Amino acid sequence: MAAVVASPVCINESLTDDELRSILSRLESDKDKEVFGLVCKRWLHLQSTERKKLSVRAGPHMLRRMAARFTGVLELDLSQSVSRSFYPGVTDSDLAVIAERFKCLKVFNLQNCKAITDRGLASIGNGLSSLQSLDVSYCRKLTDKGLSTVAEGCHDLKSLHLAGCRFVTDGLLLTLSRNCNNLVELCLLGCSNITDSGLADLVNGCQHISFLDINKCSNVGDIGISKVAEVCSSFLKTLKLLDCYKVGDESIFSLSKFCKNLETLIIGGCRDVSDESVKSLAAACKNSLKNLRMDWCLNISDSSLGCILTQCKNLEALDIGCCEEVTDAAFQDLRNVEIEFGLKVLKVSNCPKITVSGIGMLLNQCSSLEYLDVRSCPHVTKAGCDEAGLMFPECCKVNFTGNLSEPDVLV
Amino acid sequence: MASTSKKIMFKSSDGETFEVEEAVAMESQTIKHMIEEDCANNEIPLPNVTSKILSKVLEYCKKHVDAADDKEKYPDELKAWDADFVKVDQNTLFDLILAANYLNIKSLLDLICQTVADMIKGKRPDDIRKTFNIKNDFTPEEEEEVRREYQWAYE
Repeated sequence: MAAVVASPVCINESLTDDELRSILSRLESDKDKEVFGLVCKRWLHLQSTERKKLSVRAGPHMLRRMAARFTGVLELDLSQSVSRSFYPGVTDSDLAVIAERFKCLKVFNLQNCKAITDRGLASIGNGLSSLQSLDVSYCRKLTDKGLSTVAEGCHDLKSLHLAGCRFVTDGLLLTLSRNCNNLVELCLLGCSNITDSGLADLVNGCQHISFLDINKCSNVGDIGISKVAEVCSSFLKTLKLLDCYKVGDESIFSLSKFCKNLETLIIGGCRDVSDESVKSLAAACKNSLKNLRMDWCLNISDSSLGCILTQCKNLEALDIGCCEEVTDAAFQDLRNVEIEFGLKVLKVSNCPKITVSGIGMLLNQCSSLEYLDVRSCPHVTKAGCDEAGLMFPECCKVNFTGNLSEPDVLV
Repeated sequence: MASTSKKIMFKSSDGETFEVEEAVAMESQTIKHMIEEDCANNEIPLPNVTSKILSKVLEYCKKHVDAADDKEKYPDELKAWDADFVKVDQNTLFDLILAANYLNIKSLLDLICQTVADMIKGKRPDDIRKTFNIKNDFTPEEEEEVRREYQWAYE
């Protein structure tokens, strides 16, 4: 076999997998990475095993192929959108395949996979022991039984999202506290069977919770929240209590006392909360508080709102809609504050006593406003603002009549 | 500045010796660790690197050590030098990657890998195969299957 010309160099003979991976890592676009995998079988293997994250819309056959090919996957996203889910969607047998094949899985998103049941979760609990993050929001068939097998099998669980899983009860919270001490993020939006007792059990074992969403868990009250505040103290950064109408001043005082790192607090609809506790919160969390939603807190007046506005230097979003007692006077003290106020989102809809003058005082101090909601404020109209010569920041959207889409920072 | 600059000696696979300043040699993390562990007092043999490649690698290291101060002032100059440095045949390019990996010289490895990656970007599989002399070992059916998988799996 005499070579007439020097045989050209073949990259696959010169370089090892290590170097080829280094080259692959420098391809940025997904298209280039796909093409890389189509060059030859060795490059396909390198590309497949390099994939850490996968989003799939596929049935069990394709899932098996994926599992065989992408053996290094750590994150799997099978979530569906509410409107565009396909039938029958992800099933319990799919979960069995995944639990068997994607052993290293750490992050698993099954949001809106409405067909899955406790049986599928049992596969997860028994098979995916490295799991750290699970989102089964709106998988409405799930109960404590299936979720408990996950808690018992996945001790590393850090984040668990159960929004809309209305069969969840305090029993699950007890199981979580016994098995998942590293839990940091928990969403129980709409899990209305949860009570104070469950919360107390939860924080007994899960003492480092930093994100707790119990919006619309209307059975929860001061006892549960105070316990959460006391135990999770400086770890707690986000607490969502939308429409938890039993929550009152005692909870807010507890937060002020224990939770100095609180960044996001949602107490919309907590009608019993009054000025004294909010003032204490403003003082305690003046450096940390970024997002505060207290719409429908009917007892709130200028005295506490003024404190919030002048003390919470890092406040970015504020919702005081339907706080009927609030007047322009709340904005007056802003004039004495030297530092520029960094507020980006302000919602004052349905505050009948606020006028163009109050908005003007706010704008003087605040040039970073991006969204202002003044719907149903009889004294704040487009014409009125124009007449008063109000200068809104360039990128600021003002919602006078309800035609704009809202930022979701206060949800 | 008093220069008590120590010299480090390398021996390539084909027996040639190279002497460089310690600072230049320390561009290689591998050699740096050896120096720190005090194991670099004699000649360091590099059985995986030929004299041709070693001289290029050391040229790169020297340039980057010398230009370290100027890098902030004249970043474009160094970039231009690097761009010239990689204008070599594929064989040399691959040997440089292997040497950079073996000697753990991150900036050189980054440079060459990026150069090769740039030769892949935006191309079709067939062009890439031609450029790098790779045999297509997919059957048409297999290739079709992989393409179909890409429709189902995305990030």
